[in-house]
Amino acid sequence: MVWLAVGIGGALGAPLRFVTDRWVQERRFGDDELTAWPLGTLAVNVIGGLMLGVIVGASRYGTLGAVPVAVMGTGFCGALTTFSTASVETIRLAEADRWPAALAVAASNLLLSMTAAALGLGLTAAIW
Amino acid sequence: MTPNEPAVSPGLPVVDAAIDPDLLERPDQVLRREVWPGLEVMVAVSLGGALGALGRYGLAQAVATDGLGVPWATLIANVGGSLLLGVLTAVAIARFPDHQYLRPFLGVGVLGSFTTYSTFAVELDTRLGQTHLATALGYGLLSVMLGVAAAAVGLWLGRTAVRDE
Repeated sequence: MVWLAVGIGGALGAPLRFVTDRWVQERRFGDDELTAWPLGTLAVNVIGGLMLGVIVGASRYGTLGAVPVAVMGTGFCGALTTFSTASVETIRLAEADRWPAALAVAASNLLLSMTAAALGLGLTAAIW
Repeated sequence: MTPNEPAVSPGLPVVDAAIDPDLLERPDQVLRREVWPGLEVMVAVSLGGALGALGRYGLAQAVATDGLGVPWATLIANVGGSLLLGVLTAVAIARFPDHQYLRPFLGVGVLGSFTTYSTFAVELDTRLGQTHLATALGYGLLSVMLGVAAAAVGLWLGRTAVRDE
């Protein structure tokens, strides 16, 4: 049951990451993506971090059960966010000699995702 | 480099220059892209996403967090996935630029979903909340630095393999 839940969540989260990434890049930069900052990946990681913070908080402080956590947390939020793309973006920026941007991408993914997740955890802790 | 100059490294084809590897498709689509990639591509991403999430969950079931509180399963998934995405990005761009589903399925779907930033962030927050500062700092920095290094090695491996063919 939990396996099925994780699979369903992953099947929903990954395509949502893909269109969100494309939507952010399209809105923000139009045709100029060769010089663009990869904000699409940052956006999904921050949104997914906030959501997982709420979900983990709801199971930790509240009564959210194992199957909802598997669908929405492990499956959906896990697939909505991505670490590998952030790593490849960082190294590709470095290869393009955009070192400040590479550092900024690595640091902003880390710090903003952590902040968003902490916000989600704190919010649920305050509610329950 | 000025902000308006394209981020194209010398010797790299233009398709190799966009930064987000998930957004590269066929060469003729690089500069003019639609937000909606088409239903078939979305199904490929979705199937890959289910497999990647199941792989990550299976790894988490198999690999325990140790006494130091380091979540090894997430670390292995994130660093290993970064390595494989590097390999895939280099090989797919050079060898299969016209393949419509390869990178959406394997790159965006399987590897994007196998690796995760949300779990990583919550794990870090939890350790900071329990004032396991050294564990949080070590786990966070190790993950990011190993991830980037693994992606670099993956790109190099992929490019070397393609060159030697």
